[in-house]
Amino acid sequence: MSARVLVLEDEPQIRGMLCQSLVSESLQAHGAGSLAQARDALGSEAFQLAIVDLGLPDGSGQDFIQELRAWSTMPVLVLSARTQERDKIAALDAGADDYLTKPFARGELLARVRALLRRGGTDAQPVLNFGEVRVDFIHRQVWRRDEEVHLTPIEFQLLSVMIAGQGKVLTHRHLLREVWGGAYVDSPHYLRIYVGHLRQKLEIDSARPRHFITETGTGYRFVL
Amino acid sequence: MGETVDWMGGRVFFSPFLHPASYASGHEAIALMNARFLMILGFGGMDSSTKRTGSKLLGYVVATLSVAVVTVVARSLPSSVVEPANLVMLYLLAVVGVALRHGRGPAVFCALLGVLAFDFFCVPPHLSFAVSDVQYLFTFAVMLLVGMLLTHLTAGVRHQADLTSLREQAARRLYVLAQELAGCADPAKVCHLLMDFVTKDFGGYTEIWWEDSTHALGLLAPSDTPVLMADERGHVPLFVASVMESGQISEYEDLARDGFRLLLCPLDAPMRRRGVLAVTMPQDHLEPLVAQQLASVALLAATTLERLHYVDVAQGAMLDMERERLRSTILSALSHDLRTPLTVMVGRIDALCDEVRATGGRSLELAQAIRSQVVGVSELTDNLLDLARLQSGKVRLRQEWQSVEEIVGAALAHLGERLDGHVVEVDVPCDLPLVEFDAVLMERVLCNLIDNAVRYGAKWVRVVARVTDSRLGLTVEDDGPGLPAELLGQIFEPFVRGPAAKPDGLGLGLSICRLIVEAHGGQVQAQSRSEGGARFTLELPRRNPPLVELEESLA
Repeated sequence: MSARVLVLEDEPQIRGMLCQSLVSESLQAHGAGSLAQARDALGSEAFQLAIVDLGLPDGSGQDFIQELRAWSTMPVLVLSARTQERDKIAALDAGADDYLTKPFARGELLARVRALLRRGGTDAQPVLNFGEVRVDFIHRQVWRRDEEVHLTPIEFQLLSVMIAGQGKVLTHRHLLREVWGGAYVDSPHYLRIYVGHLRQKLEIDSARPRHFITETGTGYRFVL
Repeated sequence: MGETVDWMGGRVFFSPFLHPASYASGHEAIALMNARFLMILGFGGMDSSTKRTGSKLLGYVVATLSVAVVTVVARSLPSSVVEPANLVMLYLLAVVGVALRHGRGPAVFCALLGVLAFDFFCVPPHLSFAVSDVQYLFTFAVMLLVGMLLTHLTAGVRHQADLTSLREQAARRLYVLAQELAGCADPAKVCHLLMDFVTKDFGGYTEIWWEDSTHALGLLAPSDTPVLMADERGHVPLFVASVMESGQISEYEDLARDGFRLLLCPLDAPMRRRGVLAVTMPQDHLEPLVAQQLASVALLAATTLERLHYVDVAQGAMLDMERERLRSTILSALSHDLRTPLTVMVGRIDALCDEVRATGGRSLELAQAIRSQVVGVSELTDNLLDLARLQSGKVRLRQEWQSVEEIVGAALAHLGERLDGHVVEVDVPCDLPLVEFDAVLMERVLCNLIDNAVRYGAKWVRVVARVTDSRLGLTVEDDGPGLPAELLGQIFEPFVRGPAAKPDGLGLGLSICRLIVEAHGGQVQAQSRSEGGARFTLELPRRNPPLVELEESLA
């Protein structure tokens, strides 16, 4: 049975295009043009993913995500315009998993959708390999090309949080709260320094990271 | 020129005043005929003073007549009923009357005449100055003394009344001026009203030096009768600036024309000093209390002009707000209305490409060409909207402590496939301190600079970052065709493009870069490298980043 995707987008043209793209990937798409319609749909059917536009006629996408997060962990992909930087960050902070900036390539959209749908089913593994790196969560050890890399407790914690949210956009606030605690959410320089440390220790070229990706102005994304 | 007499605690100023017409014509004789004694009682009212001069002679006539009338009445009373000594009262009554109506001179005259008349007509032997009873000499002396005393007191009261009345008139004129100024909506009109007031009240001229929006002093509404020296006009005379500085009413004798005096009065508005009132008037008018009145006029003018200034400011702010609201409404509508179809087009073309690819059709190339055009239009839209937003100066920077290495990496990642086939060197020391800037905007600067290099045909690009104590320096250099010398000066202007530019693009990238860097308080420069290619150098101000408690030190 294919996954059901809720498409919450007020522009009928874009909504149609999105639904068509999803259907061509053998997914079931349900379009909603307003918050009210989206609530109705969520009440009557189960969805595995929601694609939410930030500017809606009867409320903000951010409110919708907050509402949704109260009862569901369903992955949420946000669609934003370049001028909606703040709204995008707010939506991600509210619990959205990823975002796409309009206009976006169809391939990009489908890749994100697939990644989000897949993530729902993956279980935490005791050992994880990416690039030249092996992470052993049980023994809290990290190897790079069979050589043990020393990570400080905070570096390991940051790595763990990023791996746990792999594929998702993790906002600065989220990472700061998870690793340093609520008192540090407005001190992003801690994050910059420690992500830099992780890149220097684990990336081949820290200036062109392949795993610890920068989402400028928003946060970071860890990809395998 | 005049004499000042202390009178009952008030200051009275007698001065011969020449009628302006005769003064100007130079006919001395007419001038002398017209010369009248004016009493400028503090606030110097002309009309009542003129009237008083004419009434002096009349005073003496009235004094004589009153003594005559009293004498006739005294004589008609039978001496058996009224003692001659009691008739003295009647004469004193006349003195009070004359003093009240005509002032000191006639009253003294009346008192003396009264004593003589009393002696001559009422004291036996009648119709003779001889006195039969020596006691009457004592009566005369007391009579004269009481008469003088009454004269003095009554004239004092009279002068107080005069003074009050003149002050009231002056206050009323000031009130009228204030009323007129209150309804004023134009600085030129304010100047006109002041000119009228000063001409009527002081017989002089006035002009106003006022600060404009750039805090530079300038003449407000220049008139045909310049107060300050002709050669000084157009630029701020030194003494105007010095009054502006000191805030004191100052007199400049050397600068005034003959027979006139020049007074500069600071215009202290409620908020701050904003200008200088220059007044020139006939010399005899510059008396301390006139200066006081001048200060009131200056305060009224300053308050009015400041009010007009703030009306202007408020209207400007309203207009700005309205313009900004309209601008952002248009921008966001435009951005939404352009982005929606572009998003749909990109999505549909992608679907078309997939379909063509799946069916093995031959129009794949065509579809991809359309796609790149649509993406180009989309970027153009972004650039135009960004330029509009940046040029409005209303962009709020989200400055945070950023890692330069991270931003360079993000810019390279953002350009992605466009860098395929190009060598990009990154020279950013890994111990470079964090620098405060808006990451999204600075990433855009780097993207634009690197993309520009690639777009103009460079095969090799190098990004270098260095810091000094106060600056971050970022350099993007390439081995492309370099920059034509004639373009170096204007390369950061919008719509300026190099000769090797591909037909896409409008030449907005570099102007966006400059606007962003300048918004950060930095600067960006372009130059050609001696070994070929171009070099863009940007500098941002930098301060020391906050300390990060490293966990080793915590443990």
